[in-house]
This record gives sequence, structure tokens and C-alpha cells, in this order.
Amino acid sequence: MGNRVRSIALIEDDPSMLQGLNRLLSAHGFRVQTFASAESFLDNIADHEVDCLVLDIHLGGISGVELQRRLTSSGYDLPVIFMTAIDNEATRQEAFDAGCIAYLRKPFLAKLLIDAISRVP
Amino acid sequence: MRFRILLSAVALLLAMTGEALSESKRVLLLHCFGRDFGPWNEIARSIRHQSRQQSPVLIDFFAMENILPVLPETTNVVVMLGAGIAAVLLQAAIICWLLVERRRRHFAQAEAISRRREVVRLNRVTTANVLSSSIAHELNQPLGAILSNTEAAQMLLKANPPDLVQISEILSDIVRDDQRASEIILGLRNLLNDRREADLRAVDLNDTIRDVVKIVSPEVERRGVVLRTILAPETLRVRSDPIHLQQVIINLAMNGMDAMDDAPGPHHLTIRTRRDAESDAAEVRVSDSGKGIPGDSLMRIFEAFVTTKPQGTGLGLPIARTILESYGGDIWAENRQRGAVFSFRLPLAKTRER
Repeated sequence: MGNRVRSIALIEDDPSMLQGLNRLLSAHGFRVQTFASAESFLDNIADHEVDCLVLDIHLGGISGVELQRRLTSSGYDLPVIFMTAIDNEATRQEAFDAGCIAYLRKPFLAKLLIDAISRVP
Repeated sequence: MRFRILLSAVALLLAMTGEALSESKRVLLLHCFGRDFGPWNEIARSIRHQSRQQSPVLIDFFAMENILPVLPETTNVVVMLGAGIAAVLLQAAIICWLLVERRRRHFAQAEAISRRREVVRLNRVTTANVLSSSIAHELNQPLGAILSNTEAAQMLLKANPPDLVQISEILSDIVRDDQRASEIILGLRNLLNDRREADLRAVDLNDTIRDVVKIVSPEVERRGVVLRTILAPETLRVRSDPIHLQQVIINLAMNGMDAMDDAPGPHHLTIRTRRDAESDAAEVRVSDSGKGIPGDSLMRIFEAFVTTKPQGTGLGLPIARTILESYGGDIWAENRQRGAVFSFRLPLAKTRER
């Protein structure tokens, strides 16, 4: 587990994936808050105490990359780990341009996600 | 008189070389002998008599045997034989021409079938191409969920005592996600299978649209597009292969969604069907709220390699047009106040097929 990260906000619009990752991160001892959309995360952003954001890039509505841009422009400096089921050069470039700790292609092994979380400064 | 001789000689020689003639032509020749040919009447009668008793080939021989001894001395034998040879040559030429024509038609049909198969294959490849992102997304989601759940279960099993209730739930979810992935693959197999022959039948276009909506729905949702279908209240049966039509409509729908990617929202994709009573045809319209087609591309949008997309191949629309035309239909594009609309029309199936 990372030195600093205790609480993770997980944003994923696929209910199965959201449930699976929630179980996985919880089993690794993280406190996980789940959100089915970027909009629901933004609704009460001030109430969320999170150390790291794990989010899908291709969310319905506001995309993961767009959420990261909005957070950055609003002054929220949250470490972000992007996940995607559609991996291509354009998506990868977009993710790194928006700023992220890691970019994970689904399906990925838990080790990759845990390693990425441990790299959060 | 010479004309009569000529006619009789031609008729006889045609009968003699009648091996290559069809039965119907033999009958015509014999009928010809029924006419009044003056000095040749006896011979014609003889041949008619033979025809009732002998095979057609024997008739020819009898005709020859009968005719030679009774030729009048006054007959211009040279003229008759010359005309006969000319008739034989003419018949040989006609037979050769018919054979060449038959062969040419055979090759043309084979080429048409081969070209149609190639267009169908390209249509399938194009569909796979436009759906590739959606396919990757739809398969990787359940695969990702299965992997995360499995690894979570492995972690839970290490606890003492393990949470068997949660592990049981996880296993149920894994089974469900596995089935979900299988269904996606099954659906794609039906859509993208390489079939040698088209499955031609009377297809309700409204049903085809419903099938297409199921296929593109994940992509529609992922892109935040509002998809609306307005279907004709009556069935719209057209004679075609339903998979070919699905592929064409999927291509049009995906094109519409691509056209809205960089356009300001809201993004609306509408698929509408209607019966055109005037032309007794079914019409499908796929409209988007994108930027529309640039004026210079509008006239050439169905030509090969003409595309308005940076990553486009420019083959989707020409292939769609070829497929629709092969079913007697046509396709056209228009700009509207906001976005573009692609429409195609197919003749309705005959009443007994509907």
C-alpha cells in the first residue's frame, strides 16, 4: 500500500467493474468511495476526502479526462489513475496531457493498480 | 423457281446437319417441308412420313437418300449445293456465336457473383472496423470485472476465517460477467461471420433497426448520444439479407456519431422508417446533429476514398451504396439545418412475401 493513500474515489460507469474494483481495493485495505459518473462525484466534491482518484476515461457524460481538467482548473490537485477499455494512441496521449500517475488498460492485474497507488507522492 | 430450290436446299441441308439443332427447330424444319415446294413436294412428304416413324437423325439420312436420285436435270445443282454449303457455314457460325455468347454470359455471371461476395466481405470488414472500439470496450469491461473479482476473492480467501458469503457473491458476479462476454461474442459472430451465400428473405426493416439499436447502444451510451427511433407503424418487408442491412445501418449510425464528436451538444441521432406509398418502397433515414457534410464533399460522398473523417477509409458509404443497389435500392445524403441525414430506400417485397 502507498505511504500516504488511505482513501480512494473510484469512478466507473460499468456496475460490474465498479463492484469488482471496490472489492479488490477494499480487500487491500483502502477506504473506497464509489461513483457511477463524473457528475455524481462533482456534486458534493467538497465533502469527499480522497487521497487518490481512480477513474475510467470513457465515462458516459463528462469523460474522465474532462473531469481531470475541471478539477485541475478548479484548483483540486488530486493524483489521478486513469483506466480504459479502449486503448489507443489518442486516448493515451489525452490522458497523459491531462496529467496522471498511471494509465491502465482493462483488464489489468491488481498488482499494476496497487503499484500505481503506491507511487502517489 | 430458283428461290424455291434455294429454300428447299437450305431446309434439307439444315435437316441433314440437324444434330446440333434443338428438337423444336427440327419440328420447324419439318413444318417447312409441309409447304408447297413444287417438284420437292414428294420428298417433303417422304420426310414427314419418316419423321412419324424414325428418329430425327434417320429422317435426315432418308431425306438425303430420297432427294439425290430424284433431282430434276434442270435444277441448277451448283446453285443448290452452293446455297447448302453457305447454309451449313451460316449454321456453324451461329452455333459458334451461341457457344461464345453462352461462355461469355457464364463468365459475366461468375464475375458478378465474385464481385458481390467481395462487396459483402468489405461491408463486413468496414462494420468490424467502425465497431472495433465498441467491441474492445464491451469485451474488456466484463473481462476487467472478472479479473478484479477473482483477485479480490483470492485476497479474501487468505483471511481467517474467509468471508464465504462475499466470496459466493463474487463467484456469482464472475459467472454473470462471463455470460455477458459470451453474449457479446455471439452477437458479433452473427454480425461478422463470413458466409458464402446471402440469406435472402423478406425482412421487416423495423426489426432490423431494433437489432441495430441493440448493437450500437453501448457506443451510443459511451459517447453520451441521445438515440431516438421513429418506426413506421406497419411492417416494412424488403427482400434482402438482414445481416447486410444491419451492417449498412450500423455504418450510417456510427458515421452519424463520428460526425457529432467535435460538434457542440446536445448530440442527437435519429433513425426513422416510413413507407413510401408512391414508389411502394421502405425508406430509412439516419440523421445526426453534427456539423453536416462540407458542400464540396456532399456530391462525392458516395465515391470511393472520399471521406470527411481524419481516420476514415472512404469506403463505408460506397460499399453501403453497392449493397443497397444490389437489392434494387438507392441511397442519398443531405444537409439539414443542423447536421446531416442519410436516407436509403428499398422496394417493398411482393405482397405474397410480406
